[in-house]
Amino acid sequence: MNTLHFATSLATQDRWGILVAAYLFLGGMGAAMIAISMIIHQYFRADRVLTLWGTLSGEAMLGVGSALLLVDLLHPTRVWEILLPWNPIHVPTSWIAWGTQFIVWAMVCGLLYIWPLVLEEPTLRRIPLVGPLVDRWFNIPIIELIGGIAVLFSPILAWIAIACGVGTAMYTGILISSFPGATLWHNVLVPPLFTVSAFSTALAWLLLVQHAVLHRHDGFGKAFERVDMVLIGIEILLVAGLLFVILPSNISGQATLHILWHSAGWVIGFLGLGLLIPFLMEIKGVSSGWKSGFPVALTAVLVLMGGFLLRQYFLSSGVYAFQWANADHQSLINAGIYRILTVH
Amino acid sequence: MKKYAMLINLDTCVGCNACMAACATENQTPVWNPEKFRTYVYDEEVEVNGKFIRQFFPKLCNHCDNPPCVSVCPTGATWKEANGIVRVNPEICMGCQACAMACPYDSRYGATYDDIKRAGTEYGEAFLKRDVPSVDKCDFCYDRLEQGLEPACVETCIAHARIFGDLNDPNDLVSKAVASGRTQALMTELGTGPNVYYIHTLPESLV
Repeated sequence: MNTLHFATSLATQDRWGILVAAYLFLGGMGAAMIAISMIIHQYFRADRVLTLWGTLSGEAMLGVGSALLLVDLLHPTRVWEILLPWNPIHVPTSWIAWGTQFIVWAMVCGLLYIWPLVLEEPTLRRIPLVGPLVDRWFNIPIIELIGGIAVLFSPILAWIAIACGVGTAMYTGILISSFPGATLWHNVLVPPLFTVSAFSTALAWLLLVQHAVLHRHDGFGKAFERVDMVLIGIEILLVAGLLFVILPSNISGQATLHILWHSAGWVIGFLGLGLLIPFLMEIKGVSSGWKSGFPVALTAVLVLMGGFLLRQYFLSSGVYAFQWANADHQSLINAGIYRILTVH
Repeated sequence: MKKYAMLINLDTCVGCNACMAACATENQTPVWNPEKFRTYVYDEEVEVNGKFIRQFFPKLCNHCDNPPCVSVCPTGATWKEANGIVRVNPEICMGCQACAMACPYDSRYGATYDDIKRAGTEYGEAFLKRDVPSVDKCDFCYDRLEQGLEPACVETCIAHARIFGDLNDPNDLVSKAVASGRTQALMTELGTGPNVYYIHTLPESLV
């Protein structure tokens, strides 16, 4: 056997940076928030204000997240292609194709579902300049017709929005796991991790709204805290599985571990402040409660910070193990401290 | 039906980089950026039994049997031809770069608006082969193949280090070399099924 000797070089990537990390964060959280809002309104009798806050926040996050991705494209005017509903039929293996449809339909069905609630909302009528015109707009026949249809099909709309919300949250993880070059990305724990994190951050946002905006301390707040505590517990298990089982298994994963354990943003920012401390604070909140809403809001902010850092470090710490090397190649120079020589 | 593949003889590559120059000229790649090549010849030092040897390592798209860049593409801008060549249609590529993220061989690069603009100056507006941004890659010089020519890098190689062939032809040199078991492809453990093969010594019996 003629054995070839290759030098292995390890390199991170800079193609997908903070804009895509923000897209994955806002997209997952926004979609999960629409799903949660539909569920609590449809089946747990959440009131109009909480449902509108949750759904409209989710819509805004999905919109902003998608806009960030659009800015990151090399040729953004071609994006209309993936907005066509039948696009995934042509490219069924592409998770961006499916994810885009999930996002679009979660947004459309979420908006249609809350349409009647928007018509009832008195706050809109108090907006300066726009407020007095709202009733006139709402009396336009087509608007009334859409409202009527939305009421008629609200359970169906809710379930489409819920399915697409869950689908979007899952998609953000499946997309990353479809990149085989880096062990951090290409493993079975990534889709559940991103899904759990999406729902955890969505609940954190709703807790923040409950305590910091609406100043409510009702049963929903308690339920959100309990569920979020469980989700963060699952997230800790999944992250531990990545750090202690998946990543040590090969050279790409080991290089990722090297980066992560030497990054204060990961160790202190994500693991400490974004995961473990919120988990302990939510255990305390669920078991014996807090005297004020501040610790709950603080916990929610930490969870949100952790959710973003998770995605940012995922993109920046995935390490490709190339079977070639070159001292002059800039991307490899950047990863120079990880360069090693091996014989395959 | 042909199944195109390339064999690279690492022993005869002298690192002249003529293949890179020929490819850049043929395909109008943004040579002003050292990270944007369709093919690149790496110059590496490898330790073997305590001694360091200098090794040139030509690299290009591996035209995988299971190309991750094709499966992630959301617009269908990247696809695999029946003859095994993975191609890109710049006109429908939106430049999300998921294909570049998915490629474990670092074989794709983003050609931006600035690159297209400068290409007009460097290569001539009237001769531009593409005028929109996309995530570019090697296509074994598809235009040349259609004219019955070999890829530019193969034709220009002074050391015959690059050999282009058809894996479905049992009498083809590349086919025989691969069948001999002496060749090695990159990162086959990923399941991508690469179709660029490397060999150290081409057996005399095959030439």
